[in-house]
Amino acid sequence: MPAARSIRNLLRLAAVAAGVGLFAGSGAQAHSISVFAYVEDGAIHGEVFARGGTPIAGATITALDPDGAKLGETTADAEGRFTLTPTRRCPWRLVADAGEGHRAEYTVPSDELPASLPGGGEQPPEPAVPEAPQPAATPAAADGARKGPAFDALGGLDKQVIGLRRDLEQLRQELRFQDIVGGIGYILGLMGVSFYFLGVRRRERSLPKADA
Amino acid sequence: MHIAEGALSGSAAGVAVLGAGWAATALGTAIGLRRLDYERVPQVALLSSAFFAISLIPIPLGVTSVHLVLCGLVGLVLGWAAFPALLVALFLQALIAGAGGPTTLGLNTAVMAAPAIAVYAIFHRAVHARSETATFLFAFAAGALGVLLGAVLNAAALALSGKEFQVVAGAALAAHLVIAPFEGLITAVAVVFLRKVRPELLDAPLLATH
Repeated sequence: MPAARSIRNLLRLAAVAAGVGLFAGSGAQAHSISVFAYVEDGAIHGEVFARGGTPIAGATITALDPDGAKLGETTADAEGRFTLTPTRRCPWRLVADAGEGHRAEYTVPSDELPASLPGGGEQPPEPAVPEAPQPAATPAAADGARKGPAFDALGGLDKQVIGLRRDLEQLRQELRFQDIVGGIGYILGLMGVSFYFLGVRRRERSLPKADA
Repeated sequence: MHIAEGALSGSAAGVAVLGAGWAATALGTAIGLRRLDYERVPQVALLSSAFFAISLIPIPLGVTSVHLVLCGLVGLVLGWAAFPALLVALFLQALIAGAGGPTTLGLNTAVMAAPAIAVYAIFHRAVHARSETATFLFAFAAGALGVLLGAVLNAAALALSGKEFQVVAGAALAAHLVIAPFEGLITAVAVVFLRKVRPELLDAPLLATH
């Protein structure tokens, strides 16, 4: 039975593929490049990196607003870092292009940007807070708090949170072993479906003979 | 080696290239499915799984990383069925790994499957050579040619879409020159092995309809 033999071969290959996947799957990453950005001291700082965190120098970063209009453009330095000065308070969609079709995106949500910026034209994503009569939480008061002694004590925490968020972003982009196994499972399922339809076709073809 | 979703759709030329990619893939898949036989379904699934898994495993190479594609081996074993096999594998990669997307799937499939079929047309008779050394050498050439053709087509698709790619294309092509001998070696070992134990696996029909 050639079909039975093929299936045995297939199972053998599936075992090998699973082994290879187990060996290397955990290191694989979904996208060839990633971009990550955060807001610090009123500026957008970001990094472009490849699989495993290797920085990508010279990638072009274009910032777009939700309507696709260009907000700014910059180039990553030798360490893959870039800085943009926000001009409007709206979600900043950062598109990094490293050439050869390698692209990545990251959106800086508007609530991370300083509240003092103009609210982004006709689509303020949230109610603007600039001069709202809230006694404790005006931007000026918040800025003051950020410079107070309590904030100095927490200064390191900011950096750590940014580091954590970058790790999280990298993890989110990572491709795990079960993804690879899942994909192979889908292919095996498709094989079953095609067997069914080809089998139906074959039976229909052989039916007249059986009647005769 | 794939073109990311949205990388080409910005320009009219890019949209034309994407459309041509889908057209080629639709045609190739139709031919491949028409020739697909009950007995060959497991082979298609097998090669599709192999391609799917192996091209998700990055091999770090200096500042960049490459991955094997095995499109030479896929072509040698499957012939025209390389189109449906690669379409399925790349669809799942787009779904699971975010490599490409609905607009680029056609182009990415064509970029991988066209070399597979070229390799098949050139080498499918040659790998039946009487001497095992000749089979090894032909299969090695088939594997190396497959990945290089893929890299060239990929670069050509970007060039036709008017992307400024020259600087990176040089580096990418060089990376694939490094990977080509490995592709060749794996293809050669696999083909010599298959010829010994399952010679019928290397007998994909070229133009005969069953």
